[in-house]
Amino acid sequence: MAEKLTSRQMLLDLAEELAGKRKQVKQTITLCAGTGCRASSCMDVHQALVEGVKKRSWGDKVEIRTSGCHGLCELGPLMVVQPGNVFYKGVKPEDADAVLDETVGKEEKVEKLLYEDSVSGDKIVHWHDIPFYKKQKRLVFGANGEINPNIIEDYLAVGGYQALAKALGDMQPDEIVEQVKISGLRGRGGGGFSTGIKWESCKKAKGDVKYILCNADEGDPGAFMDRSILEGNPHVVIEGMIIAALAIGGTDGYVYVRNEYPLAVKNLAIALDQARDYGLLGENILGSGFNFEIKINRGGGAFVCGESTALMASIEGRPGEPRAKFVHTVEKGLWDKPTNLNNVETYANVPWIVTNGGDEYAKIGTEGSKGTKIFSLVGKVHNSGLIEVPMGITLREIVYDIGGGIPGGKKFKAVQTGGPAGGCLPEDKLDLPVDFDNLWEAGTIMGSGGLIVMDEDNCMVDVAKYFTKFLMDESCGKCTPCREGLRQLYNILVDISEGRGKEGDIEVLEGLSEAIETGSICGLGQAAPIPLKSTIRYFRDEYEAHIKDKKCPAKVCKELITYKITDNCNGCGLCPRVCPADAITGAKKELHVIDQSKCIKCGACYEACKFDAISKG
Amino acid sequence: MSKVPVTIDGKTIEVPYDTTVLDAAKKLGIHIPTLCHNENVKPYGVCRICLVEMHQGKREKLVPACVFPLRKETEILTNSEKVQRVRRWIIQLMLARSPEEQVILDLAEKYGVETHARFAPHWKEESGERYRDESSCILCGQCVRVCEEIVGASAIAFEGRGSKRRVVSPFNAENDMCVACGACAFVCPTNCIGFVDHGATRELKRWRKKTKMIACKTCGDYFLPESLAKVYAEKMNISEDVYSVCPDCRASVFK
Repeated sequence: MAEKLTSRQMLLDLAEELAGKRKQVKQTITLCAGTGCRASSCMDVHQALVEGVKKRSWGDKVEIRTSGCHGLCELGPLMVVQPGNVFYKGVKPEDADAVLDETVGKEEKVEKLLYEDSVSGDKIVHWHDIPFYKKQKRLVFGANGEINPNIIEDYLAVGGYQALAKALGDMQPDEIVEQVKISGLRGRGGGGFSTGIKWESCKKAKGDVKYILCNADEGDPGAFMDRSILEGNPHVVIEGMIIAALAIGGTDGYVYVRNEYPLAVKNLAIALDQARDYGLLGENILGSGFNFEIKINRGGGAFVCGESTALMASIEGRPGEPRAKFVHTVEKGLWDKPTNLNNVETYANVPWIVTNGGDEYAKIGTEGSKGTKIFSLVGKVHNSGLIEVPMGITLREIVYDIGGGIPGGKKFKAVQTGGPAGGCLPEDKLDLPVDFDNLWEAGTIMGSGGLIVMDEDNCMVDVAKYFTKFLMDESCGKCTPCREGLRQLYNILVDISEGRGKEGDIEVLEGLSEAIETGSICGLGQAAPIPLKSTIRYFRDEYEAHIKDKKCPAKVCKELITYKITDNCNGCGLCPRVCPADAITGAKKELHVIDQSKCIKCGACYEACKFDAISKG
Repeated sequence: MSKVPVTIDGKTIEVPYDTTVLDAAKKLGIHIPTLCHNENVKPYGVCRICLVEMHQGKREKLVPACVFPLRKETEILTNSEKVQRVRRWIIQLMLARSPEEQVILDLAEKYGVETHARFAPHWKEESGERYRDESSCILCGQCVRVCEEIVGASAIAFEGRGSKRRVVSPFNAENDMCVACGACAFVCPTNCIGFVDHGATRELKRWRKKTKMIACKTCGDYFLPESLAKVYAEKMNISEDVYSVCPDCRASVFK
């Protein structure tokens, strides 16, 4: 067990000692061990490297480290070899010997593991030269790739907990709140409310007990920024929460984290124990007399539990349902006590702000949105993964420069921001600088930071239907507009996509959307019509094609497409064999025919045909 | 406590801090429709039929009158064009759920909504008996809240998410927590609990509850469920001589 740190000086001395030790190691291989890379068997690579080092008796020569997520999940497992910042992707266990012998032994590159640019085809050696990383600003996420989340000493060596020490030693609670206000930090969970003002209100609220909650109930499909922070650098969140507690007068903390994030839960629990051992959490933090404890509360997987009042109800042991919050939760939240709830990424920004000052933070970003934002960039792009960019970057830079553009030579159609309740923006919005206010004006939201890129093969009616169904299924059902309204929106969208759309449907969708967004209790219902409304706003012609012409322009909606065999058919006999519905007949070497009454429109024949003889339309 | 001025549909009144819009409107004699509200239990704010337009300075939004607390000068419009528009949609959604329910049909007529539902009723979509049975339940939660807050039994609760939400007894089976007092049925605005007294037995169909009735010692009429008599005897220490006389006979027995 570590010796408890009882003063700021002890912390600084230890940090210096640990940083010195880190510097002594000349060569390192840092392997990404985030969930994405683990899914591509990075731990087998780790095993192979460790064995390789042992075999060569290189224990003193090179250190094998594991770290949190590096972001470029698509190309995992990833590793960085130092010195030289050599970046390797798609590393397999059998590559371990080559990496050790060539790169560690001779400081040469292993050609096949280098990143290849999707546009120029050039090989790129250094990770910071890769376009995916080049335009990023990794303020919060930077340490993820450097430290092992299970070793608190790694975090201490890169300056961890020194913001807390500064806050405890040099700053009055009011000054901390003031710095956060000056920084312009806005809630990263989706609401975008000023963090400083929230802290101030909670600080002013009367109560002997005050709760500091961290929302790690990241429920948006395809979003994984909070997970990666908790997995890769849990201490930065813990440090942010303790600073918040110090500023607000918080007594107890909870991290509400999804149970579907086992690695995040595990790494967070380990980190909390380590922080306690060092006297950085619990009683008498750093010998200052300040007490604060953090507990983990695992969520059961309901999307709505990411909503503040539902989250609090869930911690209290009640069903996770929202309630009216005309009396704010900073005044009456968890167990009716003043409660400050921020998202994982919000807390993760706090140590940087305290260390560097609110002014410095406010230099990054746009007028109304400061700092950086982490997005999970997914969908039809080359480089999917996690990116941290300064507010104000354009969507075009994100999709084309960082994301590497659309694969397969397809045409960009839309990008959905903000998760399932976010809107879809078309091509002419690509030059929009991304910040809270711009996105809102364009009819979408920042949300928690999902970015889904869609190409010409995506049908926007189908997209709206998909997200409306997701939200309908996740609605808690407490209030009428959300429960009944989303169901009716979905029914109409199903009708439209199956050829039963009728004149006036768009107007009904719009009217009903207004009732749902103005009438629902919580953010889930209030934002739920956004995917639908934004697709009507920017892709109305697609809706009209479905309704009036009974056509799906993107050829996605099964009921509206027909597969036919053209004259190109030479009767090879492949399509009848792959057809699961026995809908194709024809004699050998003669034109085949699809029986439309039997065809289930699965597309198997279309995919299988080698002679381009099947049309879809 | 300090007072705040509120103007509702042009009429101004001062009310104590934290008074709800609904209570303030009542004082002014202004009617706001409600379905889930019951003044004997905590406000719930879910049916959304009481939505009104709220103005505070530049801030403007629709809020449910039953839970919105007045804390500063506020102007309320209970029947603006926007309120009417949204209210009509909400009534249409309720009609989709409960197309044959008189309370909803009456509301539809009052607010000018055509009673042939624009949307197909749920039980047609689901083709399940359950939905047909429960289509009259508008999920206002009055039964659940009265059972918990007033009776103290907590014998029923909501189950399921989204459109699968319904009120049930635990595991949808008979349970001992239910004392068969019938309070749920008395407050239900749509009479959908299936409360019936058959002489010597009482039934609450929705909660799968059947209980024997005790007859009045004096007149012989069945009036008290056995399960409730047990509460009187065990929890309240009332003697059998007292509780086994029906309210009609009590006046003459206990002079």
